[in-house]
Amino acid sequence: MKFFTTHKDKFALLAIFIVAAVLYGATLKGLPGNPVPADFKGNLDDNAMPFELSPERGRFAEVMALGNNGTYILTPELRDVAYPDVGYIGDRYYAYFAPGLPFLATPAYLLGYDYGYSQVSTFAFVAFVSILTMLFLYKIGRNILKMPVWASLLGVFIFAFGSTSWSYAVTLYQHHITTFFLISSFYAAWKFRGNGRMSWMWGVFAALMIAIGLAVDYPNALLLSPVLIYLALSALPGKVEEQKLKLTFRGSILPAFLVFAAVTAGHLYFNEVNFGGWSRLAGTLDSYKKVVEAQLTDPSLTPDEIAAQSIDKTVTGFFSESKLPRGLGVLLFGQERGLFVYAPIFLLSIFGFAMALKRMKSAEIWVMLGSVLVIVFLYSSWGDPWGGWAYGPRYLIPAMASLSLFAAYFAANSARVFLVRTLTAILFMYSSAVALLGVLTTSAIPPKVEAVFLGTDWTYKRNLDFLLDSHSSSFLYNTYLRDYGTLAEYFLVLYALLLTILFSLILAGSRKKDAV
Amino acid sequence: MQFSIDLKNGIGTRLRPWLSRLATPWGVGVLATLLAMGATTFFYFQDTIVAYGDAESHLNIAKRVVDSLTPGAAQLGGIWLPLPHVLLAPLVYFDFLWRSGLAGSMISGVAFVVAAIFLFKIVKLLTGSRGAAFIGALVFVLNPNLLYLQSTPMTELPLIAFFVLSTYFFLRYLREQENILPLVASAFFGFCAALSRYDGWFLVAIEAGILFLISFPYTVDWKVFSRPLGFATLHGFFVRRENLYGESRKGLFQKLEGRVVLFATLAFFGIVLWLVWDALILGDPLYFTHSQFSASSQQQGWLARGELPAYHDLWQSFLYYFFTALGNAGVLVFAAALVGLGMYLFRGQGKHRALTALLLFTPFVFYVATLYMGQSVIFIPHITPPDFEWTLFNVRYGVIMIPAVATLFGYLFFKSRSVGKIALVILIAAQFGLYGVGYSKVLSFEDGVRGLSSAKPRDAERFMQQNYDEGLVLLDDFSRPMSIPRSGIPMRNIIYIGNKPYWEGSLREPEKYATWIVTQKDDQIWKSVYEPPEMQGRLFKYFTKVYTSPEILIFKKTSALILSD
Repeated sequence: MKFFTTHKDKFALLAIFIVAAVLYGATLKGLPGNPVPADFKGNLDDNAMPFELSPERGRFAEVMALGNNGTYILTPELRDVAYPDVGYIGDRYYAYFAPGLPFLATPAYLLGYDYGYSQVSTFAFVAFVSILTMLFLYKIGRNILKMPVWASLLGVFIFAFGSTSWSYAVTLYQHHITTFFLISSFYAAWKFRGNGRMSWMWGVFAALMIAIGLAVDYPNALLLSPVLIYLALSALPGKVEEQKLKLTFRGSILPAFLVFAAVTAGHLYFNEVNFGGWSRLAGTLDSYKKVVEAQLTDPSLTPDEIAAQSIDKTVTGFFSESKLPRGLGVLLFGQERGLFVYAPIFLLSIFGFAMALKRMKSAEIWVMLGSVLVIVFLYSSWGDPWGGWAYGPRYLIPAMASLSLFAAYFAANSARVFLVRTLTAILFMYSSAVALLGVLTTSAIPPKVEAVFLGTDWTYKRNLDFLLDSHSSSFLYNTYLRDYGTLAEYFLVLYALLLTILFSLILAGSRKKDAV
Repeated sequence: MQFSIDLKNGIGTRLRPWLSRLATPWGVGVLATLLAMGATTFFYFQDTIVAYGDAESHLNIAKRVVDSLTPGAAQLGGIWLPLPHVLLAPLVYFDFLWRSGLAGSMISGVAFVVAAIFLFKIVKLLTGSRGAAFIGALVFVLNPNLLYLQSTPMTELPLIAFFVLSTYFFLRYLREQENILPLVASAFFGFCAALSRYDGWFLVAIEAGILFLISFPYTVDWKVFSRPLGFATLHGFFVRRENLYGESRKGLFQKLEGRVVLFATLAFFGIVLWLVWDALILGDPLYFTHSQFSASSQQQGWLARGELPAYHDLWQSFLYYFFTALGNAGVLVFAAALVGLGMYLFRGQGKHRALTALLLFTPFVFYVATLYMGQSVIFIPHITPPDFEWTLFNVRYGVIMIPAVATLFGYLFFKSRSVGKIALVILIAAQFGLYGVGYSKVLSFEDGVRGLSSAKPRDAERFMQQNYDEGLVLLDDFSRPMSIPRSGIPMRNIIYIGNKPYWEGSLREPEKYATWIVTQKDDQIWKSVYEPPEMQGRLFKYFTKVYTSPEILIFKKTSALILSD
């Protein structure tokens, strides 16, 4: 027992790894085999199939281009796989997404390719990164928020399995990669601020994470800005003494700065070479979809003529204050995607933040709050807050990480122990059921406006039909377990496991004397 | 590596006197004046001072008082309140100031500077901090919507100035209740506000209500609600108000009566004057609410089309004004002000915090109420359905909330520690960044140049500019077939509805006075002179159509045509 309590954090990290590996493994989306471009249309892009939506298709097409052809340029076959999210410059075609994720996932693709599981291994890469995020989240809960082990674990599991982030941890989306860079860079910046023996290395790590993060998704320039500012200010601590503002410049930030500059320069050079300008982003390329559509009506039109008719796209043009009210409604409260509808456990986060701000008065709480607000603010101003066809508010996944910790913070620190923990348990049970329902079935939930037109549902009720029909996206279930039971039974087994973990944690928290 | 900045000597020594001078009413006044002059110069060269249709109407009303076919006070009309036009009247006498709109810029500009100075004083009064007061004033003077509107003849800035002045003196009275001079000053500026825009009526009513509450000999002890429920719970709910002079209950009631009568006599006098004016000049004391020219009559058209979403919907009314205020104040600044409001109400010190907040939020309550009742309409892209014919209209109403936002921002600055203060200053800069990258739009400007509120330049206007030579011009100015200032026609040569007996005479016998007739489809001239067959015959007998567009026709007297040829 003493050995356990002495090394409780190591055991907790191990527990996170095991639980996450089991649950992510059980729900990882995919099919065996190495897909080729001809497999996508009308097959792998069907509902509950691994490439049911265009974001994962587009990114996977880029991974295939890198892995098979050694270039980021899409071949005509891969261009059709990534369609409609394809832009072009000259005769070169690219997916509309930032290049970071395809580059990072390519080694996993190549590794799986040798064994005939290239799609599964590529998706598993995202799950692996998500597990790393969970480990950093735990460290933040323990070291920065000073939460007990059970509450830190609860926070981690709320993020991973009590929210719709789960659906995006087992497929090829950028959200969990962004979350990893956000959370790990924040933790590293905090370590750098602590000015310990190896703090310069933490500074380098933080800068590296931020710089790579910028290449994973373009809005990350704003999403990561609170951490970047925090890191920069940590290098310039100051205090007022006797009417003098004393500022100290920590030279240990210089290696971090050099790393940041080098990676960012590489990113900008990539843009220059591929997209025709260092500041030009993939998302602002001329649309290949417009070419296809325009040539349907007038085959004589050339891509240049079609591009000349289009309005120039700008990076900032995607966001507008006038979209904010609708975006907030959709992302927070709407039936289609609302955070508090899909995962009401996050209601506790509001109280958690308020409590932490009052109690801790530390810059770190403000950085975490700032990053949440930036994410909500940014994506609420986005023209498509729904995120196309999606399950839950996928754009808020990076914010969910911090929110989860503060939900657990509230559960751990509220004076009304019984009431709050009962409420936490109820909300977690509901939120995790919704999350599990989504991850086992489909993320292809249309926005209401499209759903009405198509005569389908626009909430997670649509997933219930999939569940009852045993129509699953799970690689493990589809490949090995389908013959042993229905999807609903599989759901119940996983749900029982989740509830066991939840009640174990809450019980551990209720043992006052030796609460871990 | 360590380095230090000496805040007392060195850079501090050089900066401190400047900052110290700037954070005073004079400093704010100078800053506001420079910004106002700069903004007016900019918008003058952009030719957007008279972008709003209403801006031109305000100039014309004032011009007609001093220089028209039938000049005089009656030209003030009975719909728009008269004070802004009275203030404009001496300036618009000069044709250049009238045609350019600079007469309005002067009035609005002075109002802007006065408002900035007294906003500084309000925040100073609430916080005691010159720094916080300066930041509050800075939020106000840097607001691009205000900077645009202060360069125009619109009536928002005069109202804001009187609102801020009245509020400042009222808040002073709340703090020093034995001194009645601030109360009289507040009532006087309330009187001015009530004669500037109808928002002012609500302001004086709220002030009178607050005055009644704080002077009432009994007050409410809210602490009773923390007791367990039972028969004794409400015992002591009403308690005698503390008074320093040991006055009797009767004395306190007499004092209440005296204060309320003193305040109301002056503050409500403007309202009474306006009702009497409408009764005498137009035969109906409530002409401004009933007539075909009133705002509520105009709202009926939107209602019929199903495009009045806030009508009889309190939540929508709240949302519409909330986002209109947010859009005008700037989203980041507005969010900070909401935090400031929370701080003020729940963490603030001093008495009457809720009543002070209510006073600051008077415009908010007013606009939510008028939207709900269908007395006003706002279209704002944030929440107006995109399939509406217009998504931008009357958004300038939101600027009236900027003094409240600036005050609460200043308060938040006061309550923040050093890092928070720096963050708030960065927030102001970030707000400008959002305007810079096009994320946030300067809505009141956009509405003037692109929205439904804009005075769309008409081709007919250019025609008259090039072809008008002499003689009287008959036109229905309410439907704005063209801009009179831009057409080059002297105001004294215009016959419009307010020129008795020329107007009535011209509708019966168009040739009697007018040399030119400008009519727009479905305006009063169209209906009276062009549409009826018997009148059309007469029209074509004496006049020749010299200009045709899908909406507008211009006729010139045939004899005049021969003479000019």
